[in-house]
Amino acid sequence: MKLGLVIDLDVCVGCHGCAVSCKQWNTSGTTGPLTDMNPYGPDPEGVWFNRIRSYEVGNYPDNKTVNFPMSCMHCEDAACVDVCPTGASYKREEDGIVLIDQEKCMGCNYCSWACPYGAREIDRSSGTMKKCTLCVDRIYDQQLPESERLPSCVMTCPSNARHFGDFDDAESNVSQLVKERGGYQLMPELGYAPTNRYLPPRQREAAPVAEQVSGSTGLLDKLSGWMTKQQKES
Amino acid sequence: MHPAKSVIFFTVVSGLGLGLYAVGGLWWVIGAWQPSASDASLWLVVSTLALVAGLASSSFHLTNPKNAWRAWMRFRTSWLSREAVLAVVVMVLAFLLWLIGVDTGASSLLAGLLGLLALLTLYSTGMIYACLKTIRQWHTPFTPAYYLLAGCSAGTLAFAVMFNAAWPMVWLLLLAAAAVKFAYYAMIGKPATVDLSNATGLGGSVMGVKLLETGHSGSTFLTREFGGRVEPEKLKMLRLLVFVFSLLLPAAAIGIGAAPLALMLLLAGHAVERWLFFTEAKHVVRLYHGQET
Repeated sequence: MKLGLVIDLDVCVGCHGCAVSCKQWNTSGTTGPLTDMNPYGPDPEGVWFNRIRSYEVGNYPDNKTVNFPMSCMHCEDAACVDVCPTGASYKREEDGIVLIDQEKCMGCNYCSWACPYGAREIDRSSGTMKKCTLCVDRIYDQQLPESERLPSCVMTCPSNARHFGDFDDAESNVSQLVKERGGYQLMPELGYAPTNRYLPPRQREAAPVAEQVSGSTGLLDKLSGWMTKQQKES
Repeated sequence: MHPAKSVIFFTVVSGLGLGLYAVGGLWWVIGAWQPSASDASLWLVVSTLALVAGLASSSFHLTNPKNAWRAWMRFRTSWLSREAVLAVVVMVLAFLLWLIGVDTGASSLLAGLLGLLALLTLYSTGMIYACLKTIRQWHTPFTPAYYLLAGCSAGTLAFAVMFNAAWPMVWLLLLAAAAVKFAYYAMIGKPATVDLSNATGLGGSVMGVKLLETGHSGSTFLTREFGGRVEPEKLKMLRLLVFVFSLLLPAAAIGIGAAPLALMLLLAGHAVERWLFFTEAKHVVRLYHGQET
């Protein structure tokens, strides 16, 4: 098995629900707590397994906000595991999940340097490195109804932007989504073969807007108009 | 990258110790140095003290040091583990050499082996950084080359100070280290080949990709570890200081006969160089925060 996530950038609304749900589940899970430092102070800071950034692609009116959740990609060739000197970081043979043994970690930060995705964060309270477990303590839990044996982030996502499944199975939901929508990996050129895939935003016509009042015919506007035209044609 | 003071002290001081092991061991095995029992003891004790001081300091940057002994476990894949194992092997060999003394036939061979393994340890320290594809300023053969040259130049200068030997080698190493550092600074000045468009895979648009928000209101582990920024003017001045302190001033001090002062100046130069080595290293995760790499 090769378990991982598909994240649909077309429908993610950037609500951070996945991150909050992840924090809630995992803070009392196998690698919890996800300690917060100074939580009620002016500069709160804490451990998160999942962070969402927002980007703007293109320029108005041919622009789009893309919300971009990132967590551990559970790489097939995980550099974080190779560089770990203690053996705390490991990748499970049976399902490819990358985990950190909290009993062995010495907190040297080296694995976080090897990870290009910012998936690993030190917990200053325990002194150990922590990361996404793909909710290994949910997905195999026989006590839960089968429909709930999913990572917390996937369960929670209100816009159905997160999907969980086995990438080794060509018929699985995740494999099918990747095939249909051109799912891609982040920074594949580094050679870590990340398992998680991202579905690109769909191309849509720009929403109609009121015509601009005449008078804006400066060089910059002309250039911007020309570039927009080029972009539409490409 | 955040420059941890303990790691700067560790790499500079253990570099000195390993370089000192290397030059003494290799000089001995090729017959260029025939130490008396007291000279050999002095050489081994000073080298070992420097290496132990460095290793002890390195444990201060760990957030869970009670597990530090586990760093020997992953010798097969991790350069950090290899460095830790080799450092211990070097110290064990040094102890054996001290036990058997200078008069046996095996002494010089053991010294030679000690020297080679000390070089290999220095190389491993460099490879800890050079093996990381995520940091282009480190992922280069210049990194282990400089770690070797810096350690050996400090070690050889210390050796020359103690035994008044190997002076031509001191000059050669000081010049070679400066040349490699100069080439390194030219190399990392080249623009990065990846940007936010590549990193997010949202490229293909003529308009490009802009960061709207990072999604956190305070600092995070990622911003503290990877997000630092230093004024380019300050960096330029510090680079100049690297060459002043690791070449010009030690050369002048040696010229006026103040060799111990030259060693102090050289170590200060290495500390500045090491601070820059971390500060100027820009991890790819910065791209997702709209920063340059």
